[in-house]
Amino acid sequence: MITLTSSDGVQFDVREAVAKESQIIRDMIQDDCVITNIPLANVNHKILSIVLEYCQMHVDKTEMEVNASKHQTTTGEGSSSVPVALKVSSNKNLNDWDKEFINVDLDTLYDLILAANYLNISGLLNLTTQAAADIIKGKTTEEIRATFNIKNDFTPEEEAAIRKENPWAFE
Amino acid sequence: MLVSVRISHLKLETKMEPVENGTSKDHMARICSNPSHPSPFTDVKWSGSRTGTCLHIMPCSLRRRQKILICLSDQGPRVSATVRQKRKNHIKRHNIHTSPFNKLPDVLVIEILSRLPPKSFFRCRKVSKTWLSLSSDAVHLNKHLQPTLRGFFYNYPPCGARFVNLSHGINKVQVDRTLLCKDSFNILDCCNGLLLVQTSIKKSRFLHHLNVYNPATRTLFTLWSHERRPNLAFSVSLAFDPQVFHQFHVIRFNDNFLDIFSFEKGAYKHHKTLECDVRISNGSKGTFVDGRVHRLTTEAKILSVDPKNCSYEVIRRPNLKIKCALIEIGQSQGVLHCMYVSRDKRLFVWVLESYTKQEWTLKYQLSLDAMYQSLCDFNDFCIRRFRYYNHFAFHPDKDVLFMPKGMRSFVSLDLSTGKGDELYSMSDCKENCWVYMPCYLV
Repeated sequence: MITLTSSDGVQFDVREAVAKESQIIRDMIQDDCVITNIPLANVNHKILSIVLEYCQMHVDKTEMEVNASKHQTTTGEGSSSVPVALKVSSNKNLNDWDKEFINVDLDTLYDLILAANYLNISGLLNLTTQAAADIIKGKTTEEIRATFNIKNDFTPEEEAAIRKENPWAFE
Repeated sequence: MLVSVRISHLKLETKMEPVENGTSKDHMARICSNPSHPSPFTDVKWSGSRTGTCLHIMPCSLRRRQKILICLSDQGPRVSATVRQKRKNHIKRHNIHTSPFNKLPDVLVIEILSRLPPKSFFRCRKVSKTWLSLSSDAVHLNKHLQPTLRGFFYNYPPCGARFVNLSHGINKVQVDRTLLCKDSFNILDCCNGLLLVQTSIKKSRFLHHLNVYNPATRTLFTLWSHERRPNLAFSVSLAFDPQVFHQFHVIRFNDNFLDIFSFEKGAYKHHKTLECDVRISNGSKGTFVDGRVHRLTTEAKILSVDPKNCSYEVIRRPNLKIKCALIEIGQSQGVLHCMYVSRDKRLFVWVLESYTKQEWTLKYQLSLDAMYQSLCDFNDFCIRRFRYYNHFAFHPDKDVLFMPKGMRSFVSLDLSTGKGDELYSMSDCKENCWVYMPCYLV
């Protein structure tokens, strides 16, 4: 068990495998195998609990797959299509779960992106940045600015010039 | 004073008293023994200086490998209450205009931008100055913007040109049909996403314009105008490397002469004429590999023109003692490919491994009968028709060959498995067809 401490002092006890979903924690454990308590100064408890939920789910799923394939090899018989089918269905389940998981408000999504980047969890970083990209998709420039509350710092002339480069994108 | 240290992704935040000059060991103790923040640092040393206070710390994870020096700048002179209030107000006002996403580190904005499909990507360039500059970094990471096969262009005389769209979903390429279907729109060549197009205007049918057209950005650039003379038969090829996107070359093949026209940053630069002892076959298609344009000659050799250095060489074709029904060249995976179809319905594919040695390596030898088996009846008649329906193409990044099937459709043949795959239908195509990979210039 490893204890992760959030920036606001809340402690989470997790299995080593779950904590190791994060590349930086993996590196720290590798460097120092007796480490048991890791402070995470950039992640508050609310976000850390969401992140750990993600890690837990993904570790569980992988372990389930490994066990299933082990079971397959020990029993020996049975068609080889079974583990493939199982893998496909579990991948599908996991994708559905991810989709449901990432259905959060913008502020949480923003914090999750930062946390995924800071903890270096590639799966979560892919998921969260893709979710942000999906929010942008299909929106006009004005809608993107409004959604992310970004100030337009172009002059009308500059804006027209960019528009002129790729007029098809603004139709 | 808040000390914030970033070491190997690990951020340590510790509240401390302001540090006086000539600090004692107490401060060090305070860092290490703060119960709510167990320190991952083993060795912390203070040293004072005139400009600020330096803190030497050594994190456990970097033990003995690296020492980190942090300067804690002094807070400066005390400010009056009114100034402080003003600052506070400023921060407040600032916060209203600052969304969390506005504070996202550049690297993460790039990460998001690199996941956007083309249309959204270009819309994001107009969001703000920061996003505009970050999009230039993201363009190379964005897989939706990388040149991949999206379809085929072919001429459909006398009704302009047509496009067979292989893309779908969010990456679907939108080709401007109003221009494409104009009567006078005649594609002469296509190279890395740019089309070389001949157009004319209704008023003067005998005056032709030669243009470069980018269907992805819908920009048309006229190179020159020339009079149409029936007895003047010349053929042109386009040389364009997206890595050097500000320039391209147009090569005009005219009997025994090669004219190389260079264009840079949208303007004509220079022109050079070379005399050459071979003539190109007018039905052949230009193949751009490694900065050179390749065309088949009348003697079924390959003319390779390097427009940058204004030079050319003649490459002999692969040596094979069979009766050949058809020879074609093409580009795939960055190398020149040559394809033979023999009269006994066998297909040979070579690659040119070395220019200097002119060595061809036989990559595939397959039976067309077997490949076409699942798709249609393949007979001698088909082979004869091959000559007239010239829609052959190599897939730019896979071992796949596109070949005609009758007049109205073509098939993709997977060379590695030897299986015929899909059928793409196209309206009556009698001439060349060109593979299209969109080029989004940023």
